Amino acid sequence: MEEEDIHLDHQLMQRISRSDNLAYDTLFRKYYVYLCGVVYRMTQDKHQAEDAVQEVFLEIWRKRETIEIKNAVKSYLHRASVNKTLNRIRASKVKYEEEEKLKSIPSEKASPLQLMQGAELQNVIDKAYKSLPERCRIVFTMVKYEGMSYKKTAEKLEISVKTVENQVSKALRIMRSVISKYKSESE
Amino acid sequence: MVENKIIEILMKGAHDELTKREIVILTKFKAESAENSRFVEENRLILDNLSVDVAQDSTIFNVESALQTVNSKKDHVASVRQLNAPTPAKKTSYNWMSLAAAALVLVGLTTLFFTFGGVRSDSIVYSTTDQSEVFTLEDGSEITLNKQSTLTLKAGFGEKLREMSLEGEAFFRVKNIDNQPFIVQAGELQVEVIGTAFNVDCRSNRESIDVYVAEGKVKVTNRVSNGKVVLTAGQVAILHNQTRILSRKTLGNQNQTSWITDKLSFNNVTLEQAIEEIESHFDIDIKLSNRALSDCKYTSLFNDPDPEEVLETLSVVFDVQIVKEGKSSYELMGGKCN
Repeated sequence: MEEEDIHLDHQLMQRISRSDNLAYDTLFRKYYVYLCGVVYRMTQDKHQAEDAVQEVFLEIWRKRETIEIKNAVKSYLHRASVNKTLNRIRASKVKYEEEEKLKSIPSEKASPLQLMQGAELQNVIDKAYKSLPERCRIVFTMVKYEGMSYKKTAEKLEISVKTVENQVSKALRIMRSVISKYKSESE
Repeated sequence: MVENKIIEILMKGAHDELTKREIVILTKFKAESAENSRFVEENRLILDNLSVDVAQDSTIFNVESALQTVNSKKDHVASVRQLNAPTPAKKTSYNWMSLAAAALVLVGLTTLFFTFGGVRSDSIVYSTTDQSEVFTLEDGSEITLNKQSTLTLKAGFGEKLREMSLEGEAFFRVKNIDNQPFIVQAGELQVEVIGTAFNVDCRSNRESIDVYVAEGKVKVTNRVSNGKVVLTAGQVAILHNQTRILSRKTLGNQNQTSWITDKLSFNNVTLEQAIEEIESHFDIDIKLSNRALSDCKYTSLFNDPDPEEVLETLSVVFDVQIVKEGKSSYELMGGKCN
């Protein structure tokens, strides 16, 4: 993030604290799509994403007179959006499936994955990612995209570290198998 | 399951530096068989090719209509606030506020870092979790806050006084402003400066509260006993937890701010002194079993070391055996001065 940009954002926040509607709209327009993307990456649900981000902005307005964001506003908004989504997930108390006993047995032949390249590979991998079961994808997102350790992720989602381990490994296994299925179907 | 561990390492490696140990585990696993090697490569390929970009189908989010929705709800919020008479930010009960802020941090919630709801702007809190960070105050002073530390500015900062309280450890570079004393409360100690650079270490797991002056002059007062000590550059004031005695030392120690520079430097210091500094830098415990070694002289320079590196060097130089007792405690046994 450019230093100047960080400074500009702080100026916007200062104006917002004085109830400046235009500054608020500006901040909203600047980060709305980005933040929706962050949440969408986790939930793959458009409504959830938009609700969460709108709620974050509404809270900023509610707290505008007392809030003091010390670090980059973008980082604050990013974390607030992720947190909001996690709260919702925790509240819904869905169980995580038991780890299947199957071990992934890497094949003897050359891996289909390694035979694909470039845009095709990226495309297939993204499709595989989108096909992940919800809880599995959320855990995987926290570790891969939000850069959290297994321990931190377990804390935030209120699940055990073992479950995090299983879900992450499962995510990769599912993606590997989706990709090899694709490859064999296209042959 | 070993594979889960390998995947954990690969996930970490995608955005962070791996420790030497993690690299060794990975390399060994790959070397065990061709299948293992392929397993690692396949997963790496997936991780590398997962798009970094957030939702390419960004067109599905309609900004303008969302903004309209939010603005309509906003007005609703505003009118509700008017119904309840607005509460102006008052400076009363700031003591409660700073206690509450400190309590929030002590409970270890990361939410303090994410939302400042409820913290008034006359009680500003700087807080770190697992990394040290540099902050600049409104007066231009620069604070480097060590990890797991909190600095709370008191109300009215920058008016007559610049006062704050510290939990943890911080290095201060204070802007000289006439008639505006800069005061840091650290436990029982109060550190008052005019313009200078100094380090305050009041981390709860240490045996003392230490104040070290790098540049300038500082007055350290024990608020309980009223004992006072004035420090100049290169001196440290120490309040021992056990004895509650405030003492002053002039240091050959260049390691008071090693947590910032990542350099550990020993210039003909006693082994006992070196061990103290190593303990402080890594936040570990080292027991020297053979007391005869405490006065051995030691000279060495480390750049961004890990504890094992430093201990190994000690074991070579003094012929001591290193015994690891727990997650972060070690014992040095045997050996001689040389």
